[in-house]
Formats: sequence, C-alpha cells, structure tokens
Amino acid sequence: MKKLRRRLSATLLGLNNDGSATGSAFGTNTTFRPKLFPFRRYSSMYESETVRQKINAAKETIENSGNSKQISNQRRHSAAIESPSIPFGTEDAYEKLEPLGEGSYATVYKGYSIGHQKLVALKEITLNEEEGTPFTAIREASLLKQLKHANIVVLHDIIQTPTKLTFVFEYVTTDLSQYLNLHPGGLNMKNVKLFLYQLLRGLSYCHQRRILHRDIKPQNILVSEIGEIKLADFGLARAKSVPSKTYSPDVVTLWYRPPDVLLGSTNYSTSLDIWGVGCIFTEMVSGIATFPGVRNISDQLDKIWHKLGTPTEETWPGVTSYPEYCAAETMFYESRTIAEVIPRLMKDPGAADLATKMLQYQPFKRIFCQAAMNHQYFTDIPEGIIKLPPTVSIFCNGLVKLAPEENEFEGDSLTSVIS
Amino acid sequence: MSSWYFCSNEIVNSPSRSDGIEITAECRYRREGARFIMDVGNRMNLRYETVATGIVFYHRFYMMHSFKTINRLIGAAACLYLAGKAEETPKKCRDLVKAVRTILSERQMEAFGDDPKEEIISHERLLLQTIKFDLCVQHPYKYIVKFAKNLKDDRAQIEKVVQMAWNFVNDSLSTTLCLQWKPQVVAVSLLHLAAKLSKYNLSAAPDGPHYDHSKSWWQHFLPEINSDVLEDICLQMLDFYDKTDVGASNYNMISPPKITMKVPQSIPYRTL
Repeated sequence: MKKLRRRLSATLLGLNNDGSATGSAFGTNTTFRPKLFPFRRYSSMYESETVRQKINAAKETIENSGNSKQISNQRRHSAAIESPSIPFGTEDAYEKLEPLGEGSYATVYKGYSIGHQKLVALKEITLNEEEGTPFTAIREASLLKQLKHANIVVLHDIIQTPTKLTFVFEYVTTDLSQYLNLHPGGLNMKNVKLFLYQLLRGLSYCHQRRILHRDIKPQNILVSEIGEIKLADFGLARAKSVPSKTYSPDVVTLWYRPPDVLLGSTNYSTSLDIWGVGCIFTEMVSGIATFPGVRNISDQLDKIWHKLGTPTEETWPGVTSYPEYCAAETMFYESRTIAEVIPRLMKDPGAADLATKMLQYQPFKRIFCQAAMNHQYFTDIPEGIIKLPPTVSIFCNGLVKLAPEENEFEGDSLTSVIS
Repeated sequence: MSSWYFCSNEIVNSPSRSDGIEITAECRYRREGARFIMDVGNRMNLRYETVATGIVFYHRFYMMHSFKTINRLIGAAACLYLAGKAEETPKKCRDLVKAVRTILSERQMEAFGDDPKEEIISHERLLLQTIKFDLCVQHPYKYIVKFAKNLKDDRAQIEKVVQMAWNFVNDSLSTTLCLQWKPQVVAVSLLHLAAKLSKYNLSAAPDGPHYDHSKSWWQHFLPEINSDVLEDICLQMLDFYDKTDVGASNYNMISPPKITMKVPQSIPYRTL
C-alpha cells in the first residue's frame, strides 16, 4: 500500500512538472464540466493546479488509510437493480396473425406465442438503412423495461433480426378509440370513472418516475375484456419535443394537445399529459372528441377557444406573448364552463369540477395525477382498491367490475364480426 | 446474468482473458476506448451524459465480448452512436463516421471496412442485444451535485472540491469503476478523494434534531457504505493516475489529428 502511495505522489509531482494538459483525458474541451460550477479552466485531474497540496494530501491519505482488502462482502452494494429479465426470443417462437394497426413508427400484428400458448401483440419496427434502430424504439424499450404497472402494457420479449425489430407485448382486446366507437353517445358513467381512475393510476406511476407519456390519445389506451386500462405506445415518451409531422409521415393528432404547447411552449411537464386526460375524460362522457381540430394548430386552438372561451391577458396573463400566438387568427368566444359544453358531466357529482381542473388553460393550474386520484369524484372508489400495490389490477378482488354499456353500436356489431 | 455490476474476480476473468489478452492490455483497451468515445463525442458536441453513457455501454459490452472478437474502435463508435439515441441526443451515423475519420488515421479507419456506416449500424444491433436494451444509465455526476448541496457551508471550498470530484468522475470513466459500484457510491468516494486532496473536511448539513454526529458525512447519504469501500475506490482511482503515462499521449493507438490539411478544390466558397 505504501509503495503505491509513494508512486502516486511521484506521479502527481511529475505530472505538474510537465504541465500536462496534453495528457488530460478530456483535453481542454469544456464539454465535461459541472453545470453548477461552470467556469473552470481545467477539466481533468491531470491538469490540476497545486501539486504541493496533492502531495501533502496523498501523504495524509496514507496515514488515514484503512484496510481496503476486506471489502468484497460489501462490494456490489444493492446491485440488485437492473435485472435484464426479458428473454431474447427468436422469430419462430411466435406466429404472426392479422395486422391490428399502425403505431407511430411501427406496424402492430396480432400474434400467437407458441411456447406460452397465448395471444400477443407483435409490434414490428423496420430498421432504417441510414440510421439503424429508430431512437423512438430504443426509448420505448428502455422505458417499458422499467415500468411495471397493472395499467401499463407489458413488454414480454424483444426479437432482433437484421432487418427489423419486434416488440412482443401482452395482447389486449381493444383500445379506447374502438371502445368509444362501439358504444356511441357516451359511456356508462360508472365505467368512465373506472377507466379514468386506472388511466390516472398508470400515468401517476410514470409521472412519479419523471416520465411523460406525451402522446395520450384513445388509440394509445388499451382496454381489456374485463375493463382493464393499459397505457401503450411510449415511443414518444420523454423525447425532447412534442410529436409533430417530422417524426412520421402521418399527421399526429392535435386533439389532445394543451393550448400552451399549441401556442409554442416547450417548457411543459406533467401538465401536458393531464390536459390529454381531461380531453379523454370528457370524450368518454360525451362520446365525441371534445376539441376535434381539423386542419392545423390554429384550427385546433380555435376549437378549444370555441368550447371554453378565448383567453385574454386578464384570464391568462402572458397568453399573447407565446411564440405562436396570433391575434389576427384569434376569434373571440365567450368563456363557458365545461359542464355547459358537456351537460352529461353533471350526472356524477365532482365530475365537472375534476374536468375543469384538468382542462385549465394555464399549465401550472392543472391538477396533478395524484391529486386527481384523491378528488371527491373518486370518493366511491373502495378503500380496498386504493390500497392495491401498483402491479395489481383493480379488478383483482371483485370490489369493482365493468358495468354494461347503455349504448351499443347499431347495425353490424363489430363483436359479432370478430366472433 | 442478473445485473450490470461485477466483482473484481469477474472483471479479471473477462471474455478477453479467456481469449488470451493480458489484463494490462485490456485495461489499456478500456482506457483508450473511453478516451476515443470522449474525443469523438466532444468533436460532435455531445453532452457529457451522452458520452458517459456511451462509455458505460462500452465497458459493459466488453464484459460479454472479447476485445479480440470485436474491434474496439468499432465497438466504441457503436456505443457512442447508441448512447446518442438513448440520451435523446441522436446524431446521424454519417456525421459520426465523419467525426471518427477526423480522429483516426487512414490505417485505423481500415478496421471499419468499406462501409463504416453499415459497420457501426450492425454493431449497434449486436450491442443492443448484448446489453439487453438496458439503456437507462445513471452517472455519478448528478449525485456529486446532489450530495454537495447537502454539505455544510463554505461554498467556495465545496465548489472547489466538487469541481475536482467532477474531474475525477470524468477520469473514472476510463476505469472499470462503473462496472463495480453504483454511481452514488462512486460519487461519495470521489468527493471524499477530492476533499482529502484539498485538505478539507466535509460534513453533512444537520437535517434535524435527530442528526447523528457520530456518523461520517457520506453515511448521511449512503448509510450502508463504510470507509473501506471508499478507500478502495479512491485507491483504484489513484492507481489509475499512477499507471497512466500522462506525459506522452496515452492514446497512442490514435494519432493526433493532422494540423495541415490540403483544401480540396471542390469546397464551395459560400454556403448557400
């Protein structure tokens, strides 16, 4: 040990004598430096300033040095994190069935796992010749590996081939968009509450981990046969900017995007997802999209202003300073409450108030997931449900169950077509 | 394989060892690879998190593969490429190849074959498979800042210690510390080392009436870590400086970029 120390002080001494900026692991480049302490010329210990100090200190360390040999027991202290538990399957472990739809950057097929004898969803991502694995796919895989929650879709397996990447997800019968089409005119208010609660439960879990979903829409909310809600499509989660045309040839829907982001704000946080939840909440109640813009951002804003009123500097200080705010394109509409727009909200106490709190124009005024789950609207959710651990479905103990829907789609029932 | 942390035994008996590569050579490859990733990353203006993530991928990758079977330059390039995507600072593969070209000699570029881009992309696939899509990597940097915020005042001194510890973290990426210890542990150890070298005694800011004065400062952050662990990590770091020949370029596989460059005729005068 002492030998080492002696060598060390010799090294440190030698170091400074030759002024060794060249030897620095980081050169003189300043990319690597603490944000809070931004201005220092040197960036590596190789370039340190006072030799004398170091030599003395090194000596001091010798004196203070304990026994560093008996540490193997303590080594890898709580190394139990990050267990790569997802096995890497091969393509022939799954049988590809009919296509289910197009994701934001992939095609999803129904599939059958031969080994497990159950249905799965196969999300096929074509590898880009220029850029290899799309970074949305990389993001989605790494996020979903960390998120283990009853209301977030389960990623079972990842299959890599030279030309494509396939994510194997649990199979969930339908999504909220199809469910809404199947039951037009608004859902059973009991189911609205169960769906919304589960949506908030999954989203709150993400938000606690500082993950934003950023693409909340009915197509990305899966609904199982017994009414379990599963958040899906994390391809855009926590990326730098909001999804836009540049990510895919399809136009990304603007219906669930909050006004501050439509106005050009990039300084968003969990409030971004909450607006989307508010839109979905009201859509489940009324049966139709709350703010169905048809053309572009200004049309989308017009839809929102038309329903809830045009904001002014008095009602929303700073609104006119947003980058995309355009006074010329802004029509003036009288302010209205959400209950006036969607009267059916009044059928359930607290529903209108919760929706109002979610659909606040000013992002900082929007309610947080956790607070929303504690809102009086949810007072009739049994205690036995609230206390469930995150990985357990709310339908596990029979305290709640999916209610029959009042309205069925007339004509050729989709269910009969499937069966 | 249940975690990305290894004991020293596992690190010593890496795949490269069974392939007949000496431990000293492996250490050098790791150091040079890390250094290469830093250089390319800096040239591409990537953030330090991205570069650090790329280096952690590199260390993990060569715990599963031998330096003999996978070329370390290509491996390193693929790691940086993937780190760019994982850290949401994606760079075009074409630009990466360009940056690599400016750093490597023509002879070294031969390792990348006729189509360097294709080579990097196919290695990215292998890398993803090897690291099993575990792409979220934490680094000691943020813990250094976090812990420093909870230390007792003399801000000027602490700032100095933090800056020094930060530089230690930069250099620690050239070692296998990230394969041995969680970033929190590396952070307290390198803060400890920096404080020792600055002859400054760190103490945690009392956080209430139950503050235990008998505990060492770091035990207020990581109660289960004792001084032997810290000592070991500091020694590894000092040992690294000791072994690394800093006078000469320790980067000898890579020649310094040429200063005199012939300007090709075809370069346009203005960018339109």
